[in-house]
Amino acid sequence: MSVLDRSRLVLPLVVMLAISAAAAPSVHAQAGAAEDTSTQQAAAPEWTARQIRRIRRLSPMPPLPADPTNRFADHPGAVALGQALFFDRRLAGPGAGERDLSCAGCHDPRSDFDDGKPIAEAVGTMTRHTPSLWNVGHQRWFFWDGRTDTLWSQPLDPIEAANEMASSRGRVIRLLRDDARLRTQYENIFGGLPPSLLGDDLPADARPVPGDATHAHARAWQALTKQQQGDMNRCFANVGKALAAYMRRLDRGNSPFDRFVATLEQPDAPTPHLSLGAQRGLALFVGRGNCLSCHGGTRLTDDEFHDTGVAPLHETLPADAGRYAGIAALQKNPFRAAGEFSDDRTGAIAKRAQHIKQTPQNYGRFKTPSLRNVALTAPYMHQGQLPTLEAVVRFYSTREGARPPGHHEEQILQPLHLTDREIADLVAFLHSLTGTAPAAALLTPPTASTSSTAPTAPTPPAPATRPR
Amino acid sequence: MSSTHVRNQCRRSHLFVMAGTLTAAATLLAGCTVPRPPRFADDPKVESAIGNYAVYYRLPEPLPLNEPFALEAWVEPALDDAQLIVDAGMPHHHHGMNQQPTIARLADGSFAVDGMLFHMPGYWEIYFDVTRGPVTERAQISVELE
Repeated sequence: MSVLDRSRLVLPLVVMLAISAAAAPSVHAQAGAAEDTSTQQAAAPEWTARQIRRIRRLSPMPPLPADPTNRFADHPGAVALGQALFFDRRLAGPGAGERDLSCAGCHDPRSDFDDGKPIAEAVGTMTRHTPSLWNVGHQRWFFWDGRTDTLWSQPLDPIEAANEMASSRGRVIRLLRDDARLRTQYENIFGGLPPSLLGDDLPADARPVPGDATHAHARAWQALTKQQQGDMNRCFANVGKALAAYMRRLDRGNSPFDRFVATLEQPDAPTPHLSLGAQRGLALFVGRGNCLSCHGGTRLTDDEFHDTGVAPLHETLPADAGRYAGIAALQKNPFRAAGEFSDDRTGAIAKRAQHIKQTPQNYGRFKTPSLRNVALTAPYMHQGQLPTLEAVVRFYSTREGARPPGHHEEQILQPLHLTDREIADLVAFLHSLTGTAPAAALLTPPTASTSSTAPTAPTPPAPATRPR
Repeated sequence: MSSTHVRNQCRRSHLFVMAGTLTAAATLLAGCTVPRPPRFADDPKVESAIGNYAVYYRLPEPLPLNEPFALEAWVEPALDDAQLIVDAGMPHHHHGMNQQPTIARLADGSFAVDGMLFHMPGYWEIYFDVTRGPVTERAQISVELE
């Protein structure tokens, strides 16, 4: 998504908020205008002890959690390799043509690691919205349906998905093997590539294709020896671990809201950091809005799955089972936390999946997204159904257009009957959740000087056959 | 993490029970009960719907919000052939937990329940279903999680 495209989405929101500000002059209505002036401090709400208790549970942004399932999660070399792979178009299959269908093709750093489109488009058109990667290292489940339980297994899925990058683990391993720089980086971290993968007979594409044994990728996979399959799976898992090491660095915390909370009980603090409107929105957020039911915790999400009742983006889209299918996929995923490629098969992360259950109640539920940095990542909901934050808050306030809950579905959401000013206040609060971006060097393809760690082993000779 | 208010409740279960007297008689005939471990001496208990069982339970204090936790339970009388299922739900929201706890019977006859997770604040009910033969009897408590 270009900057121009993004401005088309942001501009109406700014206009709307400016109109709201005219009606309620004390509201700071511009995106990014969460910082306040001292003249408004005198009119700040008097927070009750209960409100303060609830607000304090939302901040600060927690430190990056350890990932014992990936022992390379914080390896500097893995971060560098992951960054190189993230921007490498060659990971995509030939169906990409001239398009950039690297990871960054959809998770574009210039667009806050999403694509700004309601529904993602890659080799094919998908059925869900591209989620942003900000703070992705903190998540409990990955994808809208939670079909993976580790960050390192997440990128392996779109690489091989026919409508996304349409590639294969065979193609990725050949790229690693045949690109001298990538191979050096890889071998410095994970050790030498297995001998079984060094021969000239490795197919251009090979992967298991569940349910389609006649697929060319599946036939090539079946033609490999068990040793080759096992080695390829191990190397593919390592690719995911390197990508995860990079994505874990995409932390974006320390928002105006966090600074506000830090000084919440300091009456002499120089500024309240939040506009009066944002403070009123915060009061609604922790009170009558019932937002904490799902958006609690320091990342403002419960990391669980709910059905908001939002209607599909198009009637032509297929019914989406959401979490119901996600649980089944997770339990079959060889790259899950409890699987053989995990570095901690019995720890707390692996135990999570052991306790989930597929029930009819899971049908049509999708993961609660974090609200941190939410103002940067329009459109919203799992199919990008709602273009602005104002539309999202209005949807929860009126429930207009929502599907009625079925008899298996939870019944949490009730109309809030918010006024226009209250809606603007909540939007102003959501804007205050935009954090400080990480170092710029993480947001672009690595340069030659940063993409490689000093080799500890000689660079192997280039094989006779190169895929590109 | 949260303040917890636990109050015992004894409700008529929605499952079943033909005759409490039959179960009581079976209990007396079984003659294979074991004494309650001392660690449950000071724990709260709740009676099942018909009154044939008392469930002693040990919850973490405070109960964590949106983090997995374990609990222990002791069912009295402690019968070798009685099974315990533990689950929880938010009746006002019409949903349960997103996880299915695992339940293991320990050597001393108590039950270790792992994998509980209350993902939302609010009113939760915890259900202890004691099953012996074809008869299940429920004891339940409620907790308020902020």
